[in-house]
Amino acid sequence: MWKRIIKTIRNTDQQVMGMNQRNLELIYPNNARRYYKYADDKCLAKEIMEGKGVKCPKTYGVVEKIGEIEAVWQMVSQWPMLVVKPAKGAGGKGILILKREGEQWMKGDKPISESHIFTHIANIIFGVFSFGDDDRALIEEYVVPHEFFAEIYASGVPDFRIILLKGVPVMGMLRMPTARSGGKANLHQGGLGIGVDMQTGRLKYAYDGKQHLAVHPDSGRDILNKPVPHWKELLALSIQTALEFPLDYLGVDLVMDKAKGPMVMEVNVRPGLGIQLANQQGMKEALNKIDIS
Amino acid sequence: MQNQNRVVRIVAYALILLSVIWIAVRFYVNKGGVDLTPGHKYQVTYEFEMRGEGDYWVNTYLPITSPRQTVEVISSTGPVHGVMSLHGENKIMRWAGSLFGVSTIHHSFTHEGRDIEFSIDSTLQYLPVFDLALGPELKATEYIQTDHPKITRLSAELTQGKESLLTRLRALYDFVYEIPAIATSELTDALTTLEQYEASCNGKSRLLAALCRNQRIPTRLVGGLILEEGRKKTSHLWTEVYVEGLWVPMDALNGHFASLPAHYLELYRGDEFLITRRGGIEFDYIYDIQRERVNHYPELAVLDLWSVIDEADIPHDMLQMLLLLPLGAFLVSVCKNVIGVKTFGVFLPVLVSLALIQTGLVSGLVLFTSIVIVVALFSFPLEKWGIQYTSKIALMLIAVVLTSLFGINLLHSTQWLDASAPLFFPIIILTIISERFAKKVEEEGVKMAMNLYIQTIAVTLFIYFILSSAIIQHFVMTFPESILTLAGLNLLLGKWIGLRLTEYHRFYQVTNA
Repeated sequence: MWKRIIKTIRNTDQQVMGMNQRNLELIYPNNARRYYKYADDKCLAKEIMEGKGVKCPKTYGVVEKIGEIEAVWQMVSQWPMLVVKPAKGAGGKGILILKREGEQWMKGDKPISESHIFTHIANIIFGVFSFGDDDRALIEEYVVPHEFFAEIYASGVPDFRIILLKGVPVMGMLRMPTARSGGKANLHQGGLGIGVDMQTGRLKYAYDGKQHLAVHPDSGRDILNKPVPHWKELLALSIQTALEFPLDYLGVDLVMDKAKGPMVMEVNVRPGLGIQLANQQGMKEALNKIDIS
Repeated sequence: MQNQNRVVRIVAYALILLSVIWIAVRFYVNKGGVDLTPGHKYQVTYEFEMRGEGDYWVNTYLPITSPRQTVEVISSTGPVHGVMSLHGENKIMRWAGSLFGVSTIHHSFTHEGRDIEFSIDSTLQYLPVFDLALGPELKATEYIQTDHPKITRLSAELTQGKESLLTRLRALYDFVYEIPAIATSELTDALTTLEQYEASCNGKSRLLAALCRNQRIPTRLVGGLILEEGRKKTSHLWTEVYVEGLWVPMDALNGHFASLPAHYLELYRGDEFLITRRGGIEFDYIYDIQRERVNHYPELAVLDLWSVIDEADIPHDMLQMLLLLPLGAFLVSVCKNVIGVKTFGVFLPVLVSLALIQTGLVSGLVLFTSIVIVVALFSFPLEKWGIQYTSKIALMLIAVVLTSLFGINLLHSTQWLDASAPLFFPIIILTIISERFAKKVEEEGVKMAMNLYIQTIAVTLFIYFILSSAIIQHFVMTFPESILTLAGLNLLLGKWIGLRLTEYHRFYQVTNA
């Protein structure tokens, strides 16, 4: 019993990347603080991606001032579906998904008036979702989830997270919502983290915060060994993103559109360490396996 | 990066080594009293002033070093040299000469006392003492009317049925202790004390002596001064009872049964007058008492904070708090980076624990927790109504102020909170923590915020217990060089890449596959 505990501690020490080491050896030396803004501000990130031709959801409009709301809205309301989000928001807060049925805008199943939408945009600009900082509202293309996701679980918007060091993919996972997480794919909020084998592009076990599962807890459909479509393309896109950003250690969040395939949603300078649990693999070990020149 | 790490390590070790060596040298150079607990050392000066013409003499008692007090004479000045003589167990100083006009006598000495406490064996049987050698301590005197019928009756009543010496002494002591205390310098004898049922120290001591002697328990009076910073005329009188070859102190005025605090200066034994003098000349006296620092290491100090406090009149509390901050912050970073506890900010737990030192632990925690709960409850409607962030914080501050007002009122009325406790600083800290809490509630929900609050409080308590220790407080004040040690330790910790303790728990499943 003691032997096993000591062995577990030693293995954990050797393989797992902790917060201290991640900060000191991955984030600080690779990411200059003055470039954090390119990851923290979604508008700046999209400017880079669109400028460099990285595939990402199309930006319909950006509202910087209250006075611009109506003018920008005139421009974007031609689209049948769109997403309004705060540029500096975190944790999925302040995101409004809108669908147009004729002249009527819908939020989920419920109709929503234009004045409500304007209030929401104004709140974003006032900084309601970004702790008092002035913010910008980003209005962009709605990504229709690829049918691959529905084969596992049909609701919410799942996304991939790939962590790269100096442009080399280190680890990846698929984040998938559950009934418990209420449509959110975040691990903290009850979503699933599903490890991805970087070589084969097949899914590993799903981690729900407590245990590892071979099937989705709500739908019961298979997860383990399921191949991810467009895996090579996802990897290539993440590498392209990493090379275009002045950040050498980053997490790239990708979505997969039904029609357009993989697209980059956002980048993260401080990608979480939970990815190790999803993959049942320590990041130290993963770093040893890759070749960084 | 390797190179950079080496530089950091060298700087860190240099800081630690330098400051530790410095502290060690100061320990070595400043000999005497290497005691980091706040000690009691006082400088006492008798100041006598005489006016008039003609011959005079003044007698007074001088303290004697004993196991419970160490006395050192500093200086003695006057128109003539005092002549010292022993009178029984007491030391008397006598100044005598002729006077024309005004003359002053100053006699100074230092006193370092120790708390003493006796425990009287409760199985010890009471036995009346008939030892001839203890005659004077059993005898009735003019002021200690041991044999008076009233004393005899009371003494018998109080001790009836009490077999052991301890219960007898306790009964007699308790009776005298319960007598209302009044401030008077009048000489009050034992009988008068009983009849008037109020007395100052001298009446109470004489009554206790009379009651004990009536039981044939040898008892004597002891005179001296209660030392406290300032100038005073009042001397003090207490009692000692003879138990198994030892004289055990009792102060029935201030409630010390078989114990005596360190700041009691013992001057003489017996029912005597502290100063006697020849009449016919005007005489005035005062005792000047100054507290001295026991743990004062002035030699080689980079910054002698104790003298700064004494000379520049800088408040002790403020300096102390300033010096405790770095230690607190270091402890927080150990909690965060080594243990892996999450807290609201780095400084907040330190500030809260310093605030707790001011408010007191229980009342401070009650206040903090109720405010955090109010903020949590408030955040729901404010969130729902979509109130802007800055206004939301301003509203929450109003809630904090209201809760504080009610809380302080409540804590005062229950006497949990010292009315004079300085609350300005704690309230400021409260508003900061409630803002952080509100932000967290908004960011991650009440449950996560509560979780973080509990961890913050745990860290805060840990720091509170360390920072409130008198030894630590004295150490940082005496050796401010220790801040450099902390700087070195912080540098090392800032380069430490090991897993945090909580991460072993979080990640053990990674390798257990």
